[in-house]
Amino acid sequence: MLANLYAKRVSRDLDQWVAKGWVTSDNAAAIRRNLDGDETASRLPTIISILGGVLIAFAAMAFVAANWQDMSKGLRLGLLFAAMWATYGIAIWTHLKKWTGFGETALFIGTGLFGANIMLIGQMYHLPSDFSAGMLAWGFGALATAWAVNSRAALIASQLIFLSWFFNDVFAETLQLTYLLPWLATSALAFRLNWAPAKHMTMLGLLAWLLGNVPVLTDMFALGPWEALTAVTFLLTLAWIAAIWGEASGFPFARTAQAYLSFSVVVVLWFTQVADELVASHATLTALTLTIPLTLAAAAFALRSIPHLKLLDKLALAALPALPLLAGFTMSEESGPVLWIIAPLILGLSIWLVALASRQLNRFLVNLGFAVFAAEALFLYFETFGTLLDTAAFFLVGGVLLIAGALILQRMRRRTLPPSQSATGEVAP
Amino acid sequence: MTRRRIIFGIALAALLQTGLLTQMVVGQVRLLNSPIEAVLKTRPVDPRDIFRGDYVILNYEIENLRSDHVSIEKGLKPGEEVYLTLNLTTPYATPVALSATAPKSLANDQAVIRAKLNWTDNGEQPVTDTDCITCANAFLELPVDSYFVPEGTGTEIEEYRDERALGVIVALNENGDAAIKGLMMDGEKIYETPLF
Repeated sequence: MLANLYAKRVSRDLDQWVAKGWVTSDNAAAIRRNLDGDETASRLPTIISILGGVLIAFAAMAFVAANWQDMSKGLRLGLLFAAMWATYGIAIWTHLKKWTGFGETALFIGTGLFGANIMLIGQMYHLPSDFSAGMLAWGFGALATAWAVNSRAALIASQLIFLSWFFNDVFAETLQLTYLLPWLATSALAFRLNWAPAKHMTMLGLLAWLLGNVPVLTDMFALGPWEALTAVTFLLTLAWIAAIWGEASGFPFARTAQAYLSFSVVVVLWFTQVADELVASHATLTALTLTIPLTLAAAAFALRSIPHLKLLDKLALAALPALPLLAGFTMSEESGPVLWIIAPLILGLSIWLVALASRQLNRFLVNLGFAVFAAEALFLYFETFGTLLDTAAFFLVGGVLLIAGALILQRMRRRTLPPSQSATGEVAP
Repeated sequence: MTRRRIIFGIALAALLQTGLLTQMVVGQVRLLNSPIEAVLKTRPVDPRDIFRGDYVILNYEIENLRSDHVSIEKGLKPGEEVYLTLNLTTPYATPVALSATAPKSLANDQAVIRAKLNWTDNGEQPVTDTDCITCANAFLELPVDSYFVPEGTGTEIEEYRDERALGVIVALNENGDAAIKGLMMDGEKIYETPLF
């Protein structure tokens, strides 16, 4: 029904667009033919059959579960293997029939059954409750399916399984490097298939790995909390520089990678001013000041041939690791990081983000810059006016400041982005 | 994608997965067929694994070692694999030595089990609330820490926790791999893991 409403709406609009000369008659006819096609209509039976399949699977599971204790191990194993093979048989059949949606669903279920079989065999033979090897085997099985037939469903499943496996092992006391191998294998396929959800999972997996290893790295190099924050900011900034270079060099997904990395940097830097109780120790390793010239060198080298970036951008990138280090060196045990030093730097960061975004025509960075500015302004307001919380003045001043801030932000945003972008939200490539 | 790629691709993936599952089963069956058996004294609790049904978590007395009873090699690091040599005494096996590598030779009535070292003080930070403040302590995690039981029977086994009358029959091989073969209560076998 929704599809019909949408088709009617577009058809009505098309008449106007043709009359205004925005769309040619031929193109309008092609769009109408597409809307009249049965692609959207054919989704309904697919969805209903998937639901039917799920119900049958539940029925089978309930039957097996009810009789599980009475079955011999051999029969149980036979059932587990048969269910998995039957599902893969259905996947082959549906793919050959060109029912790709059904085929992907079958592969997803097959991958799930493989994992369930690992767990159930683990149960039958009393394998250890911390079953890390089982998760890893599950991930590799899913990955094999994904690579064998370019399956998106199996790929996303394998990414999730490997990430779960990593988090299961992340509390080990050694650096978890093994995760990078399956991460590389899944990432390669994600980019080969050029599928956005899998590429997003690639970025999330990398960030999770980096942040998950921070405690281990901290122990390995005997870093204090501030040194660890500086090291993380340094690594994230280097990756961000690489993403900026990648975008300028035409690498796909580099802009999205920039979004993830810039956001992560901002979160870590934000942490430096609120971590007064959690991170109650001073920075001690002056050697970490080396991260500043190193970042500057990386930025100067990698971004040297990007004409729209300025010297200020390279200096600002180099200053990012300095912020947590500065907070660590100047903080006091009683009141935490010195707000009048850190807050102006965070505000400066937000303004630079907007400036960088305007040079790159990057809508995400614009919004991130404004979000950081607004959040910092709100944070400062609470820090400085918070003692008046019981009075009406607190709310009055807050309300006035927020409305004024919103107006200023809107004006700044309009000036920053070209008219077409601020109107439509589109971003130039 | 070609017809050939679809058929062979999915079949290959399914074969690989079947191979992995078969390897799991064969490995356990081979271990359970090992003639070396040890009975370990336990202290179980009874949680529920939402993915795998009812099971009993097994804590063993030999997971907490002290150097006045057992020889503990110096320089062991937490998180690493260690080898615990056992005397196959009755009714329960007793620990003899803890080392970073498997012993080169064992007596006829001895076996070795591989475990993870959770923590050790190496005798440098002795535990002060015991009767031996100069002893080194080591805390292990054995790879046979869960036993799946028919639904609802976990609490029955749990009742024996305080009495310390529950023993686990563990099959061992020469590499220190272990698999649960069955349970014993008051010296009597109450569960046995069938091969198939």
